[in-house]
Amino acid sequence: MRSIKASLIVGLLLGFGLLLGGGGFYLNKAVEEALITRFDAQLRSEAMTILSFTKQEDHGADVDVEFTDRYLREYDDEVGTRFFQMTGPNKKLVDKSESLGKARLEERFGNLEVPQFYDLTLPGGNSGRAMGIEFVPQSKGRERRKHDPNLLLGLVVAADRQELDATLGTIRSAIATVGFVSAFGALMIVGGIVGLSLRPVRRLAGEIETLDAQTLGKRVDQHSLPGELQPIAVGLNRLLHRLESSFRREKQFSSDVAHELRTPIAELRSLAEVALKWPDRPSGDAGETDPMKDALGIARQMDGIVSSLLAITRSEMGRQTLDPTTVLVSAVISETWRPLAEKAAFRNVTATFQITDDAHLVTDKYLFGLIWKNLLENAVTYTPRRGAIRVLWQDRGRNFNLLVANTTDDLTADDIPNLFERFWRKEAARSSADHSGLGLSLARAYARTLDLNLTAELVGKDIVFTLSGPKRIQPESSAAPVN
Amino acid sequence: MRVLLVEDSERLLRSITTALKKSGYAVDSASNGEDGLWLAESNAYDAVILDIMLPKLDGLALLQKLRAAGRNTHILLLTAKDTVEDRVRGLSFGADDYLVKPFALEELLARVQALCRRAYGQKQNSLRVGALELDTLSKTAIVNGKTAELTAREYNLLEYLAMRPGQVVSRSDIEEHIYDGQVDPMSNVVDSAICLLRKKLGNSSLIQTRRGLGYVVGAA
Repeated sequence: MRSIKASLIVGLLLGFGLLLGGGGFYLNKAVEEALITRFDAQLRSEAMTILSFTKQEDHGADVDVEFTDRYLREYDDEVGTRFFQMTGPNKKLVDKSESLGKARLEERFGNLEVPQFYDLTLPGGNSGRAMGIEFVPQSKGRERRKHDPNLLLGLVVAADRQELDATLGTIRSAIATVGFVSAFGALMIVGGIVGLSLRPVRRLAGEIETLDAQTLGKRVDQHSLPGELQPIAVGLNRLLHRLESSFRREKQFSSDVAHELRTPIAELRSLAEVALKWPDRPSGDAGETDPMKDALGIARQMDGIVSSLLAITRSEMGRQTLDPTTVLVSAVISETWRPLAEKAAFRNVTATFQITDDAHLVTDKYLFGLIWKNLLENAVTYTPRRGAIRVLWQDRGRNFNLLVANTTDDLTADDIPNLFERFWRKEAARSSADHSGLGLSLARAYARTLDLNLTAELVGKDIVFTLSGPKRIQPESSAAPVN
Repeated sequence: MRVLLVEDSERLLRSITTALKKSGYAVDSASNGEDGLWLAESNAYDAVILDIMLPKLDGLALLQKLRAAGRNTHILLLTAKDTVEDRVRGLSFGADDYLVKPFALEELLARVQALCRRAYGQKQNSLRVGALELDTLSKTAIVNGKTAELTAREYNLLEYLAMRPGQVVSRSDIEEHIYDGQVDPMSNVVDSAICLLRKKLGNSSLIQTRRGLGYVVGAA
């Protein structure tokens, strides 16, 4: 299992290790170069000194290297750590240090400007470092006119580098020790800091673990989290809100369905049982109605619910056969309004229709009529007394809007998303048996079948339903035939 | 027994009211929560049948208000909400019983009867007071081994008195519990009913009159 903590620790330690290693390597290199440079400078200085003592005589035939007791005494030591060797043309030995004995030094030459420095094995087998240059020795004072400019001598100056190597070894050990200790310390520190830093993640995980279907109302405390985790908490809280709403809607739907279906069945059952238990009870007793009439009313109510549900399902499954024809909008609206006009008048609800005479669509007339039957019935039923209904046609070139707006006194912005939910009713008690809360769901399902869009919005004190879309239904919109 | 029915479905209200009346109960009814609360607070009912989804004031809120006011009336919730959560909620709010729609009428009547029995601390299906024996299941009255032919209301009246043996029950109390709100307070319907009951039982000493106070069954 991948772990952020492990990844962070490994990554940080690797990075730290690389830095430390690189730094140690660089430091080691720098120190080594500095020491060797100093060593080489010493060699060069001694070589220059020897050079200065070297003079040519008799037109270069002889070379004299004069030392005094003061200079380069250590080269005279037979068991010394410093060596020099001077050779002339054809590698003929001109002079060498006592410390060299009968041995010869390996020769590599540079020039005065750029001497050749190199490592070599000294007599006795020790590691050494040498400097080699070629030069033309100067003539002695009075012999300058006999100076041979082509007389090239080669000088190699070498020294034992054991001490240098020991120093370098000590430095490398120190760097390595510091490196390991730092690495170990880093492991502890990094591990601790990473652990501490990830604590908010563990806390968040702990909070999330407590969430389940029963606690969807809980929210993660995003304000106590570090900035990097806050977007996660915000996203999670939004998801919880959506889930909670969804669960609530589902629960409400189940409850609404239960009520809408169980209540008429309960009514029918009670009616039948009373009639069977007391068959001699005359109908028309004060306050009582004919049970057969009641039963018929209940059957019709249930038929309405079942038919609506089936129609919605058919529409949603695309199993509606369409018959597109040219539909005169004003005619359909007028025809749909006719049976509702009396009810509207009884409730003192005024209705105005602003539809141009030539407004037309190519669509399925039957379904289009059903959409408007539901919308107008809804408007007439729920517009308060002395309210107003307005139907308005808006031509949008290839598209159209057809709106119905009515006054409302109990809808709020929070209700709008629920309007098209099946069985949703504003009135929680669901008392009225004439409406089951399926009308708007059905209207929307039909609208979708016709490739139209049905939306709702609250505009001031009005609820406005807008049916919109292309004026001409596409032929491929016709779904598979109903079985 | 007097029962209050609060139900917003008109058809169901009518059916249940008919069934209860035919079973001898005095029934008051309301179709919304506010009216139901007013009736429940104003009268002493032996049982209340209460729908949950009511307009104006839902059934659970009504129940809470009654319990908060210290009313211990036995309440049966009658509702389409059938989940365990709903039942637990209803019972924890203070309901005594819970019946889901659709229901069997017989079951509803049996549960109402059980609640009414509970209202008087009765658990058995039979009552014996002196020479009188009542079978509350079959609603029959037997005096000295002979079954009396009583109407539902007459039986309920007798049962009401027998459930409080040795206690004087006032006329107004009887009116409240046996007759619905239609009784004219100035009428002598109770006296007439007691007189008729005595005749049918064939034993006038079973129900004794306490002048100015009321009636008692099973007095020493």
